[in-house]
Amino acid sequence: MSRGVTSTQLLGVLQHFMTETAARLVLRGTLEPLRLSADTLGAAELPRVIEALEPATRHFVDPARRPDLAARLRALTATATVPSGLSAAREPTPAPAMTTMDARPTTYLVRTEADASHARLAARALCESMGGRGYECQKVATAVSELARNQISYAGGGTIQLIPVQTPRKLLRVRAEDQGRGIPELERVLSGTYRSKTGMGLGILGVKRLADRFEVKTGATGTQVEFEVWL
Amino acid sequence: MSHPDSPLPSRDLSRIPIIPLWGQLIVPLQGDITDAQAAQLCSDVLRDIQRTSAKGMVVDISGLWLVDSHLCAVLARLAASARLMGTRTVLCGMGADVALTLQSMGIQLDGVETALGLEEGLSLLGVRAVGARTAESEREEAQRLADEMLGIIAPPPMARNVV
Repeated sequence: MSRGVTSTQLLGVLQHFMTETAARLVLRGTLEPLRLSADTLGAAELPRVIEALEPATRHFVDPARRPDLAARLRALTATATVPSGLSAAREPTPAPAMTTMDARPTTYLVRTEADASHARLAARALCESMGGRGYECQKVATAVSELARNQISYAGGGTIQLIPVQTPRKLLRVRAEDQGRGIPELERVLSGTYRSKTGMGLGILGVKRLADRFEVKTGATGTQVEFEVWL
Repeated sequence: MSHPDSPLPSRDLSRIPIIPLWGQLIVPLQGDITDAQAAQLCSDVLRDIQRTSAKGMVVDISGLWLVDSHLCAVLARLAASARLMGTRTVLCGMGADVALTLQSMGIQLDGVETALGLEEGLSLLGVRAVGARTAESEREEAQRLADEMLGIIAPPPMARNVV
């Protein structure tokens, strides 16, 4: 039942930036000159389509949001590279075919609460499939949840990449990136002396405390957090 | 049904149920709670407290697989608001992994009473089961029944329900 999943995904991304009708028109207008059909579009054609979509969406998308759209489209290719027919559905069910999949990083777009929920479920499922114990899986899922929430609340969304590592030691690395305005007073937040009324700050400090390795880079153009939980 | 007099004919399935029981409210949380659901829950619970004048509330989180700092903040805020209205809140059913994770993150849930399970939570609020069998007496009962069936002892002469 993979009919049109790739185009559905593309539509899903486009719809965050324009109306559904506009998204359909843009996609059709992009696919036709490329002699591709929305029904049979696969992951292989994705890079070509995304390249063509960038000029096509120009009239519909606010210039300020264009980098975001580009990032989200690119992230689709990252998700689609998972070598499984299921991957196109953005639902990398880890239970079957795990032996071939677990070496691959997977990227999740986080823009809405549903995305965040999806990302943390995926993080836990991946951790479980790698043989993580209950507490370890709980740590990973909770940390992903905290980072996803920060991305949604303070950066207008971002991406979360889950990277399973088997050697030299078994661990799950998570890389969260956004193009937000950065975390103010990061030093104080991480030292634990900062307590905001909105609850901001506790999240990233919590991630630091849960992680076995933690690194954060933040600035006016975005934030990257990378952490590892050893399994 | 916690809202029998609700004017809305269609019940919103994403709403978390709030069960009035013996003057208390029971709030079972399950699965994956979205922020929108959590916000809705707070206002629903506080409204129900006012409507039912519940003296206490037990929030059962045994069905939650993930509790993060945000959900903790929501629960703490809910408990604090309920306290302002004169209602005690007991949080129960936290799993070991969730407890360890929250502890590692430094989240203490200050100001929220906790109990192991729903039974302990209710008894903290002063709800006592009268005449109910405790787990231990139930075990004895089962043992006796087993012995009886094996013919080890004779059935007790008196009726069993003289608690």
